[in-house]
Amino acid sequence: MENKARSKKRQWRLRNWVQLVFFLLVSTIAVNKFLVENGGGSSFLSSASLHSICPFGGVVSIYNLLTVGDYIQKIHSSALILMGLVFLLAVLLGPVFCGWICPLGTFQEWIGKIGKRIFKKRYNNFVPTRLDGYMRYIRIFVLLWVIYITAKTGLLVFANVDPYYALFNFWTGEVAIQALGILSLTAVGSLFVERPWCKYLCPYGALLGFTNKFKIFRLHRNESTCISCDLCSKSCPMNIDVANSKKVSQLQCISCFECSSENICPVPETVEIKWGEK
Amino acid sequence: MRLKNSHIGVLIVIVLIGGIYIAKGFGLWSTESDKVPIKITEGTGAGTYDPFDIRGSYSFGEISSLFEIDIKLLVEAFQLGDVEVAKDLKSKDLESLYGEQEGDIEIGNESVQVFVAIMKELDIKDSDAFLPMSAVQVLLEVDPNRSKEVLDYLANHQVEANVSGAIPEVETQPDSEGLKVNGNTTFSQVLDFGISVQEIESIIGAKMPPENQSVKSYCTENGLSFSVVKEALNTLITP
Repeated sequence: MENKARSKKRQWRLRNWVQLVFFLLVSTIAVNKFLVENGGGSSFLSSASLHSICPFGGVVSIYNLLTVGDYIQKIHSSALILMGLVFLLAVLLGPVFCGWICPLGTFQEWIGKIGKRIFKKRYNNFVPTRLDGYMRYIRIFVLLWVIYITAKTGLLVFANVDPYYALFNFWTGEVAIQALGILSLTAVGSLFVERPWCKYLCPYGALLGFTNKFKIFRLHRNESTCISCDLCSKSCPMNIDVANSKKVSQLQCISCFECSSENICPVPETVEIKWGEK
Repeated sequence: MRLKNSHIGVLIVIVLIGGIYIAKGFGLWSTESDKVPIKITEGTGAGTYDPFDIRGSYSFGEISSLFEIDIKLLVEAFQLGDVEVAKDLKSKDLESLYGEQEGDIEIGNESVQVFVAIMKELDIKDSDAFLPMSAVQVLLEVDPNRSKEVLDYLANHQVEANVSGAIPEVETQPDSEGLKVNGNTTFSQVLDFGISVQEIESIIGAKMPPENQSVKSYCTENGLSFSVVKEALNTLITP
């Protein structure tokens, strides 16, 4: 059984390919924008700004749109449309944006692979459970702060601390030093903790996390076939105790589905993504 | 109903690519500011772009393309030198290019609006913007038989003004614009510039608008001249 699980572990799953595609797509757009602004680049590729293709820009623009009928600075209709599409996906599947698409999440996972090699089983288990539990509320406060401050000023204040913007613009000289600092801390933190930005600070993850409570398709663990090997819990990047949950609806789930029977669980039809079962 | 990884991958692609495709189909998808002026809805020129919606951020290349005016005429009218350089020069750059004229006369975006309106034989509304002599000459060369109303306007709104700065240098001095009100500035930023609520209220002649609203959008909504309000605010920033 364990051998089968190990062999599953080594595979590059479809999710990893999807993550790679989105990472390359965003990188290409960011580099092309820089080149176009400096007299080069390609007209065949998009040179949109990162702000215009980030769905969180749509979230922070809503208040401005409702009160003064304007997008906030640097945000355009594309961000609002992406926000709607990501929300639709989240209603269906939960925060798949976090687990499958977000390039910053992918970046953290890639660094995390180095951490796993260095620390083996200790990786992603450094933070005491109780402290970890409290720290996970921070991202909700970050979300409230970002929405409040953006609504008050009409400016994209979050860009000054946004590691996602820093990751794809660090060479342009346009990134605030605080954002570069947070990106560096996120990168270093990823060597010890899986997805530290997502777990503790990401405001968009905090918002999408709420869809775990009402998403249509959710992970169910079949207690009658479960062999209590704990592989599902150990594989969870967000440290969710899947092995002791009948269904996964925790706010922190990023819908990566690593724990499913198709991925890590060694028993077929035991951890599955289903619709309609209580 | 059970889902597999492959289903999720397909769902993501369908929802995102399909959604963007549909949004583009309906003309809703935009990753940059719309540089398309509103259209005139009634009277002379109904259905054509309104020159008075030309914004300071429009380049002369964009104005030439949108209003189908030969870029060479714009270059000649506003003494912009090289056509290739002028294509990327913004309408608002005229203010710094021409500098201050006698009698507080300004050559800027509003001058471009009036020039385009006259070129396209559209209503010049209640504009009070001045044009450099070179622009007046271009207008009269293109059509010596302008209406009496236009001729009167040109006679009273022309100024012997020449470009005072080197054109390419204008684009390499963004720092001097750092603390100035422009088309994107919100009232929150104006407060950050050190201007008080009372000063803002006195300039706009009304109660302080929401801080998250841009000055330009407020002016447009309330029938105020953005250039006038902007100038008044900028005067307070750099007395």
